[in-house]
Amino acid sequence: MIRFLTYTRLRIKAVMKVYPSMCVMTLLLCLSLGGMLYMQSSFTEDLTAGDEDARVSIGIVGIATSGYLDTAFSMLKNFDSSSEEVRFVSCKDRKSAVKKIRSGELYGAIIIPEGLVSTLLAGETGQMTLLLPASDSGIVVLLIKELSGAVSSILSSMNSGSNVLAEYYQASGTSDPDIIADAQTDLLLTSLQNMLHRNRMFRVKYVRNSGQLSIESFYLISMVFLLILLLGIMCAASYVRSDHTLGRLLRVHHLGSGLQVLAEYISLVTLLTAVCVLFIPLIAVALSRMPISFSAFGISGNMLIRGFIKYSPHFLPVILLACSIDIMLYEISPNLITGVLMQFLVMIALAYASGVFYTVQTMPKTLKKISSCLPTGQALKYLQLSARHENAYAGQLIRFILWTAVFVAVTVLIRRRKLTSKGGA
Amino acid sequence: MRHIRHAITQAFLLNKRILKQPVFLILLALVPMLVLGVNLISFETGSLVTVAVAPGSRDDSSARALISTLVHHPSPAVRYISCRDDEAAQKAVASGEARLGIVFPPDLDELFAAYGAQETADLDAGALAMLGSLFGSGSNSMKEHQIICYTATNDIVAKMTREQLFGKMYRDMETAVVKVWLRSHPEVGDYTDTQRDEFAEQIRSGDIEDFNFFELQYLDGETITDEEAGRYIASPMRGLLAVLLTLTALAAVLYLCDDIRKGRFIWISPQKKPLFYFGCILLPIADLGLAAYAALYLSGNFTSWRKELPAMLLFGLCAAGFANLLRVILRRMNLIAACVPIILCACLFLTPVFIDLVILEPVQMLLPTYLYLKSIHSVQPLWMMAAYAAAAVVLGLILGREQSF
Repeated sequence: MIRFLTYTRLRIKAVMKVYPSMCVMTLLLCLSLGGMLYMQSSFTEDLTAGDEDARVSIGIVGIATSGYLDTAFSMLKNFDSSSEEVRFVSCKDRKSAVKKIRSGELYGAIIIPEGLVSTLLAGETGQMTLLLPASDSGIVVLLIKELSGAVSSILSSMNSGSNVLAEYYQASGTSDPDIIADAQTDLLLTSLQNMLHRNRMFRVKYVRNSGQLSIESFYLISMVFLLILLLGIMCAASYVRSDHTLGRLLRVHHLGSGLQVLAEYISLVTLLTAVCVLFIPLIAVALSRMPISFSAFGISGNMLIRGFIKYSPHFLPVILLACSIDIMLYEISPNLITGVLMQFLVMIALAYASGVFYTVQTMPKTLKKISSCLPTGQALKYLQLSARHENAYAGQLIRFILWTAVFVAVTVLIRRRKLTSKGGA
Repeated sequence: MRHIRHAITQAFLLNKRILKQPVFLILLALVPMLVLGVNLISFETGSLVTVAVAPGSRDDSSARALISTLVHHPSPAVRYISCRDDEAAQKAVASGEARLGIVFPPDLDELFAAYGAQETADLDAGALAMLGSLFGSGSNSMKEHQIICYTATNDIVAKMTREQLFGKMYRDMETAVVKVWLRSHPEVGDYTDTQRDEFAEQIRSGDIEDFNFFELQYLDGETITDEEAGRYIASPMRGLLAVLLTLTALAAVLYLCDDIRKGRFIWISPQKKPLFYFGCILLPIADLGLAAYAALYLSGNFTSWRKELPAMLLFGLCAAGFANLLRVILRRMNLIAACVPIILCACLFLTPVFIDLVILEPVQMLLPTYLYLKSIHSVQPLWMMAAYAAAAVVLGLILGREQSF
């Protein structure tokens, strides 16, 4: 027992020498993860707050080709409820729209071809182009496509209404195209005016104690979770060994594989806990200064700091799990380079499959099943449930604590095999 | 000629040595596995938002028909689930099963009629008249038949979902608008109100046109197909391959540092060392780049070889230059190893791998993956990547040369 305690103390002393450099690296890592959190959350937050400067600017090309479009554009720009989130800007042509998109002045642009309105009024179909600065199709493109589909349904119905009106006039014995066109225009503008009031069709009621975390709180928990998973990579140099002479020597002095692994595990847990004890209050202070609300922890300022620090003990079981995975990967790795790379790949893969980057609800069924089986998926769910103050988190906690024990046991077995093999170092 | 043959032989032997390292074999194997896995999963993509819908009254046939349409025609973005009543919809939102709960009024047709009967201003009277109509009493009758929307937060997702629902209901509302318009113009035709309503009903009963009036395009004019937009789970694949290539560059640097420390390249003359070391980093990137290029071609994310090939070649140089520069600046292997997760996390989160946001562009542009991902659809021109590669490579070689001496 004394040997075990001595070895544990020496291990803790050895790894705490890297504590200052770990803190520097963790700060840089926090900046990367915090950058993503800020970008994801504040972009959405600014949109919902209706901040003038944060409205999405969309260019429109081809307004001047039609008086109807000009009127519709004016109505859309000044009176429609979408003006809280979107600012429409008239552009001269496609080239100038593309230039403004590239410079960041516009988020996208709608190109209306000449004669489109006449085509639609004549009962034919025509298309507008929606230019996006996307690097690839993703969630934003999907949402825009969804909205464009909704607008298309509306335009399609308006087109049908226009056609029905023309048929009505013809059935009534009026075939003068000018009279029919005037009537269609009047109907079109009436429909557009009616649309301005569409928000009044809905009454929003808030559901208290909802089973959902806000998107900001979801990403905060995910980023801290990811931080804990990646912390172990930065101290890999202190744990990955290609030479097991020390291990054999300790075994000779009755400190077997199990106790060696346990001592190293305790030292790793101590190191990571020491880093988290320093950074969690710093993260809380930094969050309180962000223009984003993390409703799961507190509305703002001191409430948020207190709420987040009060929540922080929930990270301890997650640290225990992350350390057990780290120690197992250290043991498997033959050298530092393999260790670092393997750890990174494994942690990112686990994070992706566990629902760090997308909420589990948005994932396909296969991934949902995988996520619920993974220890990191269970750990993330535990963090989310405890943030929602739900009692069900105890079940998740027990499951991934068992996983922790399994990983430590596997590490012991690998260590034993290495120490008893005849191959030497 | 002899020098070229010598260089090729050296490159071949170095490559052979690299490919014996298990890590590089794992990285190479990861490329097709990643593509296969993401492709398999993306074909059963879920929905971003789940909405619970319930009728206001069980006898309302219009609401039941609308709910049936919503539930049986989901989109990749929004999926509707049917609930029995108001309480069930609220419960679905409270439990997290649904993001939003929609409860229609007891008589949905009354809402449509109220929508159509709104007072509208004479547009010739000008903007003030239109403004007046916004605050007019025309919309008051709609308030008696409102659709209730349960949500935890009235955020952009909730607003977008309501707009989408409005689009799906619009045929019925346009029918109501046309009915009111026809009744308000009795001078046209000699029909009764019932006959006019029958005309208007043709809108509702007509075939549904599944036509999108918008063609989504990237900046280079390439169309974003419906299939592509729907497979959002697969969209980070190009970015993940780019990050894998950056990881390979960093791994190559770590192995090179280990070799330098062990004195394996002591026989290389100091003048040739910087270029030789750069070559040691470039070789595994070339191997993985080839695998990534093939994977992109087979994955369905490939655009055209005219775009992809120069972009991939330049990206390889950018990654190698970046990694080499990191090596000459940091020098110590432990320090480089500790920087690996930071750099890769920055690549994952600050560049358009998962989400394309521009907030810290000068910092984002320092990362090799940023310009590559932006160049594919001409958001940023290729010459910027070429300039980045040239700057990183030349700076790395100059600083490396000074260290050699």
